[in-house]
Amino acid sequence: MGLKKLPGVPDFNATSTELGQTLLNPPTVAGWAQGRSWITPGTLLARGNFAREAVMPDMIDFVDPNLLPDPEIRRVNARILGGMNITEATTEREAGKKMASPAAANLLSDKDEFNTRYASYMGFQEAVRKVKPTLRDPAQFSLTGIVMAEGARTTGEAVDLLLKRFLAVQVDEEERTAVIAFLNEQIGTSDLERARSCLEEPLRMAAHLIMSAPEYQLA
Amino acid sequence: MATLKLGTLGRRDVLRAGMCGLALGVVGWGAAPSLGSAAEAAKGRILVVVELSGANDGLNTVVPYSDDAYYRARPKLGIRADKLRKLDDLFALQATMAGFERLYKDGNLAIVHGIGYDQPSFSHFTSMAYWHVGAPNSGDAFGWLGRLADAMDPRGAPNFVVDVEDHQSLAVRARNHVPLVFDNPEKFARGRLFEEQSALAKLAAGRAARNPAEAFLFDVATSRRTPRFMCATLAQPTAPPLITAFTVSALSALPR
Repeated sequence: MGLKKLPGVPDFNATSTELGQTLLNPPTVAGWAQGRSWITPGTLLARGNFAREAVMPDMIDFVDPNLLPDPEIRRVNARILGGMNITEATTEREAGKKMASPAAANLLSDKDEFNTRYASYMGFQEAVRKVKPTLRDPAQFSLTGIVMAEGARTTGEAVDLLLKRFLAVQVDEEERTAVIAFLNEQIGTSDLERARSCLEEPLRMAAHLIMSAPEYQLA
Repeated sequence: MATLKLGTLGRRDVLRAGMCGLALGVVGWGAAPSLGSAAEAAKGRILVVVELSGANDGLNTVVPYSDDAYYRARPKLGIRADKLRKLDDLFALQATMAGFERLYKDGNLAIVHGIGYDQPSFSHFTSMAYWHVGAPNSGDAFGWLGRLADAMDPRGAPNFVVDVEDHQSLAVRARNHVPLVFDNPEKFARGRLFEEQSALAKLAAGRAARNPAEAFLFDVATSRRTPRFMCATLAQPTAPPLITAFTVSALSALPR
């Protein structure tokens, strides 16, 4: 898609984790397994969803995971800001349980001598104050621009260009026809020029459809 | 058949709750296997395997409290006899394992000690691979659960093997089955817009394959269509309870 840099949305680390490929954190010391274990029903879905997030990034629900502490830290924060003392604020009361539970590590030491929940809370505050922000910009590209520049005039030509661009192994005619029919229905014509102003989202959806085809996994 | 790797669920929680509580939680993910000759008896039953990947301190889980060697080797780590749940004159469970103690005393828990093989490899990943194929130095390409699934159902019924973790374990790799692998049912859904629905159903599905690579991909693509339904069904409050009474089973016939 002519991108010059890695998009900030979707989050790289969250995406690679969903694909079972967290950078520098292989499942075992042997590294990642080879061969077919890369593709499972779950990762196949995740790949399709990644394609969708890349071409249609959701800027409304996106939260920078680097700045998102776990729920326990948020609860402690709410209590401390609410004026509670540290011992109370760092004691979790689970629903349905009579006993309040301090952090597990604290059970082994004298009360409050070493408060692990407060340590995580302050640690997160301190870390985020210092962390270098990640630019959260979505991929900047125009599929309309790309297909028009390559001379496509009809939806059929646009789909062929997208298929050629995204797939190393082509899909059958039936699938190709399905994408063209989809695009025709979305823009109400097969003439790209007439629909130019409302072409981008339908083209992005078409790209997502194509990248959801199992053939997209083949190089 | 389902395996579960403990990620979000704490190990301590599992040990505390006993195996039963955990098994019931995941039991719904597996499709009901039929056990060949024992097909009728086993109908609707699911084998749940919980793997504590990354190891569990076996000697402090099932403690050989009668053996002085244990306390000699673990002068500090060793758990004192009066802090244990005694099973018999030789072994005791770690104090928090009330659920397991109950299962054992009801004759529904068997414990196999000291699993290993001669001249073991000191490589962590080699040992994990042996553990998963269940045969040291065999070079077997398929896992013990995968081979079991192949033996039970050579036709490879979809979703026969469910592997709840972030990547497929060697243990479930099978010749005839494509295991269903996932770790979060909420994420196990294809994101799509309303407009895309029918076209996406066509594009993302499996179809006639032109080569083995495509056949594999289409298999995977097809096998993941049912779980979404399974997850959705399971999440409904009206779903039938998946709790099966823990009856006296083959386990209790094992020598203790």
